[in-house]
Amino acid sequence: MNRFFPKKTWQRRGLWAIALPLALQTLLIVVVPLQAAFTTLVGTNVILRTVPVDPYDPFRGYYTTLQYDISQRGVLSTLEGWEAIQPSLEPSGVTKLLRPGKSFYVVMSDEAELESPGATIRNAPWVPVQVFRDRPRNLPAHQIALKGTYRSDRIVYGLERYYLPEAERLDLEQRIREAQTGEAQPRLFVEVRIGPLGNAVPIALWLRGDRIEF
Amino acid sequence: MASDEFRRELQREAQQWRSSELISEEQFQALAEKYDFATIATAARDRFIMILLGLGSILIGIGAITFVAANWQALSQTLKAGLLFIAMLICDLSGFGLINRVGPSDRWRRLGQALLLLGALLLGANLALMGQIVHTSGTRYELCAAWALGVLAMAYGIRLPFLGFLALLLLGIGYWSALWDMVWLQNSLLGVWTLQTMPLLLAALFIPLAYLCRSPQLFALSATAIASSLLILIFDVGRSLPAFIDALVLILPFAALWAYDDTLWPFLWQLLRQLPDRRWPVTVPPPVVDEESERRFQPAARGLMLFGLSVMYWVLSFQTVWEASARRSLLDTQLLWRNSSLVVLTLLLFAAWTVGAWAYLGWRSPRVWRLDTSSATILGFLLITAAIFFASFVIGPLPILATMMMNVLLAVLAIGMMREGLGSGTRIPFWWGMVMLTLQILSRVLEYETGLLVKSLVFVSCGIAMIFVGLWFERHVRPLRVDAP
Repeated sequence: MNRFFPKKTWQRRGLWAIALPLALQTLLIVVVPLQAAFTTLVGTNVILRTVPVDPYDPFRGYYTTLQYDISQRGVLSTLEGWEAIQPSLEPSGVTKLLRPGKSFYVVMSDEAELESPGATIRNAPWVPVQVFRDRPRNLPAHQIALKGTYRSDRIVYGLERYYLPEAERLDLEQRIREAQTGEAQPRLFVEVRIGPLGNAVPIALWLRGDRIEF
Repeated sequence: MASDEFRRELQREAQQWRSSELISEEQFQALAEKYDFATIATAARDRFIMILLGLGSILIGIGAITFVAANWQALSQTLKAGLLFIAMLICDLSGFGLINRVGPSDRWRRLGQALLLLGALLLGANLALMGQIVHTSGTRYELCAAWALGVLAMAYGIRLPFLGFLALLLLGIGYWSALWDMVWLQNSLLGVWTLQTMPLLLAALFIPLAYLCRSPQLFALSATAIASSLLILIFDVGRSLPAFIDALVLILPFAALWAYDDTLWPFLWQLLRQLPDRRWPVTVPPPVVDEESERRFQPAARGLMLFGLSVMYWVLSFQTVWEASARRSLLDTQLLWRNSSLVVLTLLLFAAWTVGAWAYLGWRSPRVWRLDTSSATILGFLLITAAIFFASFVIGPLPILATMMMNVLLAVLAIGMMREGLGSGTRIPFWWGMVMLTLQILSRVLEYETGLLVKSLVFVSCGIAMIFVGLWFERHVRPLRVDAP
């Protein structure tokens, strides 16, 4: 029974006692940025349309919550392929709560590139053209698939937050609000980078033609 | 080691004994050595220093986290990440070096512990900064879970209970803030399945740590966390279960806590080792129960159970509760057990463990299975409670019967705790019983708008009944036992 209740009060611990926990902690720290770095390195830049508000996270600071046109069920339901995936995303009848959301893929297309190939218009938003249940392969060069998750209350892409420095926050929010309510185009866009697996990282905000990056 | 209070008292007494020549100088020296009289004077100061060091570390850690949250642009993100990571490494390595270098009661060791606490907080700052740099949309639960995992690994490595507390606290913050997200957490790694099996995960991660650190406090905190997360699952899914099972699972956390027995683990280990050699049915010698000290966490588990049970009885002793809950829908969203297989699995495992623990509890003397008096009483309480739940689920609202039963159970439990507290010479059960009884009487007086004459009559008859109970006890029941030294 002494195996379970060792009697000695303190014993010296070997180097592994600190090395193993530290290795695990380092792994935990780098796993999120590594994923993002991979996407940033090999991904493609895509610009999306948005709608923001401004909450606060006690650990990571102020951020702006972004919602995209493709976050709206109404927009998705007009796309090609919606009828095919709709039954599996929105099961009727039983309550399927306490389940992870279901993933799907939206194909975004660079219309500016399509209309005038080679032109260097960098801040024109891409438009959604199609939805798939599984990741589509062999897309044309001007199209890319973005992975989304369909949850019971909304649609998310892992691009919903953009963290803002405390010092610039108020000024930026003012500009964002103006860009949102103003009639003039273009309004607020978000530049994201989409990796080969459909995961995306937010890179910068496009505010009335200015590129803002933190 | 005995408590400071006892040592201080013993020192005073021993000095008197020596001066009145009850004991010799050598005997006094032996006592002084055994109870470490030399450190009594410095013990309080040391603890105070430890608190100051700990508070300092916590403040610096919060400062680092707030620095990350400020998202200051004068330093580049890479530089900030490098600085924070190096700070964490330095804190952890120097803290480890300090506590490992010298003996247990050295001041450097205390500083080392403070540095390790700071390192654990800096891990959170690092994780938050990484999330901020890549603009993650992850939830607070995911951040807290990753953080808690890192701190827990450190706690296992160095076996410091306060790192275990911190890990549990972080996981708790994440869990309770994720509860509202439980319905739609989308991350597959630390997502919804960890929330659904949280009681199991907590038991597997924290109970062994409590044993390694030999910390009853860590055990009590872990047990609280396990029982509360289990209750959350039961509330979520219980309504869709058959009424009979629903009534039983509602008392499951209490039954599990009461039946907790430290010697069950070595016993199970023994059983597992014998399995490959023998065939069913396995004949196992009955467990040897010789050393009381081996059952180190059982008092904590039972105390927690009595505390929880009395609070539950008090809440359920209000009549309005029984008018409302009988509608069989506590939550807006009804979860069906058929769709929550992980929740059902968790409940099944806990139920199996609880039944086994109760069987083990009664399996003391060879051949005859019987429970000791207090366990049998508690089992009776739990079964009556389950029966009332079942009746109210099946028949419908029982505002009078159920309220009355709950009040009787609460009063009996409170009086029983007072009696046990007096009998064993421990203060906390006695005073807790007293508090619950007083709270019950006050609640009933304020709850019902009856005439003062009726109230007076009720008080007088309660008083007379109490006096008769006391006299009956004095005559028929064995004298209050005096604890063996």
